[in-house]
Amino acid sequence: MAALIASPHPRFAVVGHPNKGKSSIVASLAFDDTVQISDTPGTTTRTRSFPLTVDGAVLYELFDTPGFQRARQVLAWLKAQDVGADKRPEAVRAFLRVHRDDPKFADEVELLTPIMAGAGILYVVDGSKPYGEEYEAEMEILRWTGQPSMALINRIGTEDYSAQWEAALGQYFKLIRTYDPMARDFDGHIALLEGIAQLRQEWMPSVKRSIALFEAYRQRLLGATAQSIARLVQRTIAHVERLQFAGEAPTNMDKEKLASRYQEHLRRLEQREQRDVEAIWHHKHLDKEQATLLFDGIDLFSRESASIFGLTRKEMFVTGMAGGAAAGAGIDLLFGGTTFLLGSAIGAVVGGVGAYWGFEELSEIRILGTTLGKRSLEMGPMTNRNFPYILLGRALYHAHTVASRSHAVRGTVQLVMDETFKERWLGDELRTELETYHKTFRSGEEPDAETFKEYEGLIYRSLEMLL
Amino acid sequence: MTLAHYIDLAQLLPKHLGTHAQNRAFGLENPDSTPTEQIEAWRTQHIDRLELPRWSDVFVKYHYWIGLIGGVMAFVLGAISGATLLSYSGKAPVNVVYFLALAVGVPVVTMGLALISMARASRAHNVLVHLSPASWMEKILSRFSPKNQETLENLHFNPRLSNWLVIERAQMMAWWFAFGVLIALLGVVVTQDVAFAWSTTLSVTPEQFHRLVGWIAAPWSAWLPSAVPSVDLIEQSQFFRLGGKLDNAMIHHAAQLGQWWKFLAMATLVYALGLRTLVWIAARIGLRRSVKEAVLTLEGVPVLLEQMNTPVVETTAQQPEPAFVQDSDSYERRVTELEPSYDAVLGWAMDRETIRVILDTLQVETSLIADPGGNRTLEEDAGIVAQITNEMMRMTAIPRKMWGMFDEMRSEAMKAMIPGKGRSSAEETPSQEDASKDVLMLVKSWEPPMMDWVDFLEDLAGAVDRITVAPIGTAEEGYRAASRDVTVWSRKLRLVDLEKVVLWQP
Repeated sequence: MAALIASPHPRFAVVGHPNKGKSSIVASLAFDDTVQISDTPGTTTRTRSFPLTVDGAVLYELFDTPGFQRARQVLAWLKAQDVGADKRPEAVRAFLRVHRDDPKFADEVELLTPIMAGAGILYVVDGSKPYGEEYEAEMEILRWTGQPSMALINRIGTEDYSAQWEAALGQYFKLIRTYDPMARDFDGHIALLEGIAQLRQEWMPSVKRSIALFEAYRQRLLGATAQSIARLVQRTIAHVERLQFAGEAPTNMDKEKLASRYQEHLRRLEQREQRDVEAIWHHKHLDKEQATLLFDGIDLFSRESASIFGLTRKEMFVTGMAGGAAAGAGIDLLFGGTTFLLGSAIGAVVGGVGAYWGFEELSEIRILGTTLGKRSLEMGPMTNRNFPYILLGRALYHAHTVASRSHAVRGTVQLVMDETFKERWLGDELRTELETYHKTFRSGEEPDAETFKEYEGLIYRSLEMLL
Repeated sequence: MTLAHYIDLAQLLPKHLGTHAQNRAFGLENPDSTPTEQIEAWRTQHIDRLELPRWSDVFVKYHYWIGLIGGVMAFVLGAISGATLLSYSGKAPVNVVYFLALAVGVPVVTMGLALISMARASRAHNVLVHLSPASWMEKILSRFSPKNQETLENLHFNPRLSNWLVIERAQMMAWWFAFGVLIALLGVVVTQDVAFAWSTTLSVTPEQFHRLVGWIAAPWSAWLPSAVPSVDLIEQSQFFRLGGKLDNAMIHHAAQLGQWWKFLAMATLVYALGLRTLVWIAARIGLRRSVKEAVLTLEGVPVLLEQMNTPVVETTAQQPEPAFVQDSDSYERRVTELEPSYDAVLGWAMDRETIRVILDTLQVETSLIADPGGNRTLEEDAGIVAQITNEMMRMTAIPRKMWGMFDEMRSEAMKAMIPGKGRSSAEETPSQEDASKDVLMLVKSWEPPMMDWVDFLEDLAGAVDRITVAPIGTAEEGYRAASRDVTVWSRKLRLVDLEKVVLWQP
């Protein structure tokens, strides 16, 4: 703590009654899902520092502090010093000196130390519970510190006593904000930082820079997520699984084994991508429940599944037609239109029919010729045209859930999509654009960096729209 | 950036990618470099972390030997092919058409295919590439190198890079093949007296053949006219197999028939070797570019570059939090129902009106109501404890003379206490026979029990026989506490562990 006292960057101590969401607010602002949050008072026993560092340079620093335990006794001690208003901060410092090793005031010493070292005060109350006079001693002590302060109304429950709180807090704090740490609201986060910037003029540039950084940082996280999802889709579609077999022809068991390995590999790819996305958004400790990526013809390619995750047969038909027509239009252009759009028409028919019949096909199993006395089975690349949309839908849903989950939220997240989710990100235009890239991936060709970037761009746009 | 560098990176990145902070520090040391330069600098700095022999050492050696064997084989094959085509028995002249096919036709066609392969090198499944003899030769030769198999299996080249590797090697082999053909030609010319002629089943006149030869010789006809066959020479060297013997005109001009060799040598030099050299150079440039591109798509490289060039933003705590051990939820001293009346009811941090409403709701009667906590001073709280102590002592018939010690405190406490509602004023002073010494303490269930309250509770416990702590919900909740809030109080009471304190947990 002593080392922090001399540091020049803005510092803010999140203080208040025990169990009013101080740690939740810190976890939310610091994107840290390791902060211990519980309904038991006294979970936070020591002041913890959460610096926002950029290349090692601290822009600002948050402190999560223990709650007040004996506020009235501290206030009584301070009042007993009988000092004028100008000496009140000195009285608080004297309190810290006298009681530094006093276990009775351990929590108060912990929470007041960063404040008296220059930290601004973020005083947290629960706006879903009624105001009580017992808070007045705390607020009075904070006033005695002489540090710039701001009150945060955090509504933990459903009731709303904000008006009561605002009336009371207005007596002690110039700035009052409402902040819900459980809702991952980027704009709310930025608004809070802007409020904090007003606490002291000299903190403004640093906090403003932090705001700009957070905005850029969010774009970066979105970009990394889009890249991860794009890689998943490309790898999944292009994956080829091989199995060597003995004898002239493979047995059914060989085929089943190959199919099982193929599917397992795709599942692992999805799991790895999800872990990556969780790490990108600092949710490494996320506990989630999610249906496994199924490959059984009935489960995966049923109309119900398709309508929730991927495209229906009709949508697939239309997408195939659009893709085919676009390819045929190239031929028409080549002949200067003398083909009377025959190329487009043929392309549309071929594309549409191909998509229609390819709806339920996962990937055929091929027997490869002998290679130095060995024969092998091969499965992949993915020929099912609907599968990329199913995968993409799942990946976007997962990424959207993770990215919009506050770091203050604990407990298991249920990843259960409903039919409306697809409508939120997949329009006709996007579907046609995506299909062009899926076709490239299906061909087994390694997409060049530019193509891949373009595909990432589409996913980025979808994510941005969802968030 | 070479192929060996690409392989070094492929080996380094999975194990030694480092943290964002480390890579960013490296990026800041090399701020104005291109991505390829940054990656190369990173490779140079980390190369010593690889155990010897590195994959690149193994592969470069393997690549060298495959190239050498392929080149030697191609040279030998070219020399044999050339020597075979130029073999001269003395009975019939050597047909230059065969040789032109080998020295011009085949190279031009294969170079055309090579150019198509190059144009399509971005396709992972490039049929032309996989049909290339260089590709097959490598597959066969790799079987004879079991020692390196393990390393080679670890290498997963970018498909484009693999294509370019095959294309470049094929050009190298083709060049050595052509060189073999040229050497064979020169060897045969030096060591034998070869009579060249031309012959074809097609009805080609000497003039037409001259035109064809003129096109072929166009690149050198201006500065080496002696290497361009004249119309006379073409006419004189036309050979008709029918008849089975040389015609007299040919025999008459036998000395001139050997002049063809200059044309053939130049054709081989210009087309089979010269053009091939250009295509080979193009293939090498393509390979080099492909290596650079492949490096940037290598697994881990995009991440490394991103980490080098984006600031490390850290928001989380730098030191771990001490683990909080949750105590048991249950507090053993519990009651599920409240008594109908208590000697005193205290509402911690509650106003009197609220306490009355709560007592009405709970149907509890009392003689005394007090409201400690909240914004009361500690002295007022102490006064309340003293008053209650006083009352309890009075009930237990402590000699009156001892009451005086509490009088001062009592006067303070009186401000904080009001008569209870359930009894008449006559009942406010309990009779000596009334043995009840129970206090009901109402607490706001949603507020956590703090040490300020615990201190008061401990003081109060010294004055009474039993304190029933009753967590109360908000008015909107009908004063019924949520069970999770009661659990919080239960945990705290378990920690405090005062024998006289019971928890109301309906």
